[in-house]
Amino acid sequence: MRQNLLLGYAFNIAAALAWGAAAIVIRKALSEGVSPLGGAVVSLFFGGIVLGLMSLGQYRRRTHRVGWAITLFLISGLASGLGVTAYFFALGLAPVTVVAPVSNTSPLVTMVISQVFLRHLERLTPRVWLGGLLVVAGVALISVGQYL
Amino acid sequence: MAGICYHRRVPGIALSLLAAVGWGGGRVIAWLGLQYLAPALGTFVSVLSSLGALSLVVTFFQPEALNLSWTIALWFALVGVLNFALGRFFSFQGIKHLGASRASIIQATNPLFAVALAIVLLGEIITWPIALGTAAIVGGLILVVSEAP
Repeated sequence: MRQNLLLGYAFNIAAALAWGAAAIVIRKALSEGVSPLGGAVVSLFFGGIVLGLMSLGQYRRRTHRVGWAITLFLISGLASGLGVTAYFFALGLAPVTVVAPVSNTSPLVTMVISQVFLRHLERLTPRVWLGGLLVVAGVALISVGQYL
Repeated sequence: MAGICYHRRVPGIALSLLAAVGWGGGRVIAWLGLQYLAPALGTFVSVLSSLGALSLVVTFFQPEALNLSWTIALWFALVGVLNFALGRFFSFQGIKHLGASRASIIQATNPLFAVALAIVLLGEIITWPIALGTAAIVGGLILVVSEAP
């Protein structure tokens, strides 16, 4: 149980680190004045190739309800794609100092949706809610602080 | 002029909220999928789905957006490996182990790493908002991590 927990923290921090590093490379690439949407398509294409290689052989290790799971991941990918598209179009309408803090509330959205639909899978205490609020506020300060 | 800016800001904020809902909802739905499928295969399917959706948007709204030089395309290929092959894969692994909510809070700290890397690699300076934001993020993380799910 404890090992599972530590593994969970490690994976989540690794994800945050990978996205943080990607943000630096994105800034470098966008400094050339190219479209972020075009860049996102190219990124997804190359990311998909690497993931295709990583997932070779995984299909044989499937459990039950594979079709349902694939449908869920297709919807999840569409939702993320909608998020990216909305974010880039928002940047064309409002300054990044407004768009970044608002869009960075996504952890709170995750918590609300999870508590409405999947309360049986995870229980959130006031301490976790407060932690989530502090992280979102901190991220908003950092996002805005980079442009002040 | 101010009126025009205001009228552009409202849909801008609405779209920012839609982005938050898209990302937040995507995580919860992925968590359901992770009950039945390995994270690598799930990540692959979700990235293909995002690629299909964004390709349609670019084709209809910004077809010229794919006119990239080879150098820029290589930068974005690196972004693809970091952001999707590693970032989204680790994200789904993290969700599988901790649940969508706690995972999303920890993953949301990624701007902290971006700022740290920018300071170390690009020589950027720490401002007061960045220092305060860092303190808030660390405080929030301590609250979340100090309590077992």
